[in-house]
Amino acid sequence: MSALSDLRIIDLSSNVAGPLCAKMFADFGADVIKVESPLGIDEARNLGPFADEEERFETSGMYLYLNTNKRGITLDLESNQGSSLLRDLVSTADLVVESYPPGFMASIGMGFDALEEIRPGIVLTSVTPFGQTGPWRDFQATDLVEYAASGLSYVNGLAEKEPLKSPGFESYYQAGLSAFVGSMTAICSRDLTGIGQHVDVSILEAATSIFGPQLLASLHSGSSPQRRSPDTPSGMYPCKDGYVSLNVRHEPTWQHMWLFFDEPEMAGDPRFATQDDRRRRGKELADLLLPRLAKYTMEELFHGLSPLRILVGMALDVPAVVNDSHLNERELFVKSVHPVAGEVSFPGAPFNMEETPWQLRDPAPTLGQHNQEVYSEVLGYSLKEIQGWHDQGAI
Amino acid sequence: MAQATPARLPLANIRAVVMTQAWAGAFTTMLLADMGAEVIQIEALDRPDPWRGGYAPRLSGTYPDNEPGERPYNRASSFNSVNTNKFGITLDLNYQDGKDIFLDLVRVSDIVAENFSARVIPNFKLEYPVLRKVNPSLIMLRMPSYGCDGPYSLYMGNGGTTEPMSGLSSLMGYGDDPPMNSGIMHTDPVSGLYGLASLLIALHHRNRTGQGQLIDLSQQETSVHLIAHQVMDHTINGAPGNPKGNRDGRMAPHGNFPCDGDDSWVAIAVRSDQEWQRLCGIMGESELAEDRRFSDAAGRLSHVDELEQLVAQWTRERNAYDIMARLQAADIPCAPVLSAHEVLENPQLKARGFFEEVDHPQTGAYLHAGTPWRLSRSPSRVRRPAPALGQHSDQVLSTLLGVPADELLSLLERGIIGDTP
Repeated sequence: MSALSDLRIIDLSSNVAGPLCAKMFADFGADVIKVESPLGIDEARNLGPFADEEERFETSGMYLYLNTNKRGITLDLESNQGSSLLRDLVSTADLVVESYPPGFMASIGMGFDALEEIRPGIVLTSVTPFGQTGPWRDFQATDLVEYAASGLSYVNGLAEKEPLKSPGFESYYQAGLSAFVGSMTAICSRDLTGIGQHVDVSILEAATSIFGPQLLASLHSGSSPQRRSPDTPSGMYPCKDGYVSLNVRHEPTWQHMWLFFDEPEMAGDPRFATQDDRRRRGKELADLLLPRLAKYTMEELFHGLSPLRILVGMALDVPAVVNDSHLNERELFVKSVHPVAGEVSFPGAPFNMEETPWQLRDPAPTLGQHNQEVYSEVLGYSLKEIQGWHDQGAI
Repeated sequence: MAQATPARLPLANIRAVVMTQAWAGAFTTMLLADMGAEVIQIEALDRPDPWRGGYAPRLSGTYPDNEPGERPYNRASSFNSVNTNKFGITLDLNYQDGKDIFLDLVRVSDIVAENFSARVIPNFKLEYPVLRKVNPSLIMLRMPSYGCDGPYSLYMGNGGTTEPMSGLSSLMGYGDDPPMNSGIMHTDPVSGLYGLASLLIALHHRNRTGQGQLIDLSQQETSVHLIAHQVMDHTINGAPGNPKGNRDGRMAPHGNFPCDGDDSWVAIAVRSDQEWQRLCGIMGESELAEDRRFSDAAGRLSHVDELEQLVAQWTRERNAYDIMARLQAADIPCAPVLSAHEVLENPQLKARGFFEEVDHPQTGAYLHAGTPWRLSRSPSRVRRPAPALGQHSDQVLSTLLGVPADELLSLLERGIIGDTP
């Protein structure tokens, strides 16, 4: 059984954050109808990587990953016919997810008040760079810009170089997941009260919320955290075939590490008597560790030190992650077979639910793939009418 | 026990008894509490949440004015930042009496959540089938670093190991650097949000069917989702996945450029040829606008070193906020790179009331980051500061479970509950 199979979502969103929110609904069983309009062709179609260079529009990896299990339709939001079809869809829906600029939905007569009139109890979730209100609401952003304004970039990287953003689209993930959680909460509230609401997700706020612990710490200490100076050990140490992250400052970790190296007497070295000494003399500590670590592979250190309850991680590169035995035994990666892109592999279940598991039922839809199905089966229009709208360019 | 709030919060009828700690799990359950759930946090006196910064003389926290005070474990910024709106009790599960009280709490709760390493719950013999016996519709979220099964499942982890184990560290860096962890270990809050998502899905299912369930979340796996793009670049194109700094595969310029002032930077992302033309106009570089090497994205990407130097020459003597104002007026994505203190002064966040003052009896009042979404009709507010160690033990045990006063005293004397190490 699917957990969310009683819900219908209209997904008007584009790029990463909004579609990720709608993907969570789709992957746990909701009927998610993805709507692309000439003005709102999903930006994720440009993000790649492309499974087929000749067919880039339908084979962008991020689009395929973010739109699993959704039905895809097209309509022109700005045409009368398109607008009328959207109203029909809304009248059957629990939630609308959108990522248009603030004010756009209202400008086409689809603001929250209008949606609520069409469908009492509906939830509207808007995901935008800076939120629906405030002096920056119309400003433009990408993940890089969100990351910069959130405070996260400032502490990433090295002190003598420029601040770094995280790889990928992390602020969009934070916002997409926040949008999902906010939407689910609003649906939960609706189930209790019958009343819907407008969920306003600012990507900047989603990114800044994960900086919360640093913000309070900086208020307490009076200083902002900085990027690491090159002299400070990073906790990432080279070994025989790569790097491991290692933290051995605590007791009894310190003792256990020297047992592993078969030099238990070294644990008593007076220069490193306390946790503080080990932190303060990080450079000397690294000099001590490096020749020893160089004798072992990442795997040997990981499987040798972990059972001693030492915090150690292998710095896996992307191919190693894809081939990681643990991840594969837990079946993290799934293969999606798409009519144009063919077989594409990407991360599947974000968590394992015993009774209502994550499921890959269908690959991401091609543009307008489910027009006929949705317009005839869900809304009850005749094939002739649908053909007519198609000819007019409304769908 | 839940106090009256102006509007009924969406999860006001939900109770969670949690052993979440540090960041990931604590973030999940803080957001759950933000939405109105009654969240009861359990700690053991001899093993408090590590984010409390430990007991003297081994302190690792950051404290108001750098002063640990008499009870530093109640003053640590890390714990206090991710446990607002929760109740806090102490309970030693090594004692049968402690375990019985825990099971009594499970009986009257909807959710149990924890993020210990995967061997802890089996060691206490408190696996899901055991808890389900006392509460058949219970939802249990377990979120160890590597999940509950598989070859690594018994290993310990934290953000410092999850980042390298999920591939993120290998992708962070300026180019040829060794793998690098992020400044603040982002995998924790990402896992925290996925954890909360799983709980809300499970609650929806339980509302429909009455059925509870066990959820197994691996923080390594949720973190791999963050690099889905690079995973596919490998599975589709065989790409090795090298760090690219701030550069982008499609956009240039795309980076953090130096500005006037100490360690001052501005983020600029040019998404299209039109935006590039407008940027040239703003920089007063009409020659650059006509330079054919830079006229399309492919050209700008293949001459990116030179391009970035030209942009940096212009930004270097200017103020980051001024640059933002000029570029945003032309619809070009741009913002200053803000430090923690500057984030607290961000005019957009301030205008939207993102920060909220929280008065903690043992630290005084400080601003906290808000909930990362806004519900128009159920605004989430901080209703109470993070609990002091064991603050609500008596209240929860007597009010909720009806434990009599003489038994509370006995539990206190044996160190099963308490508020002082």
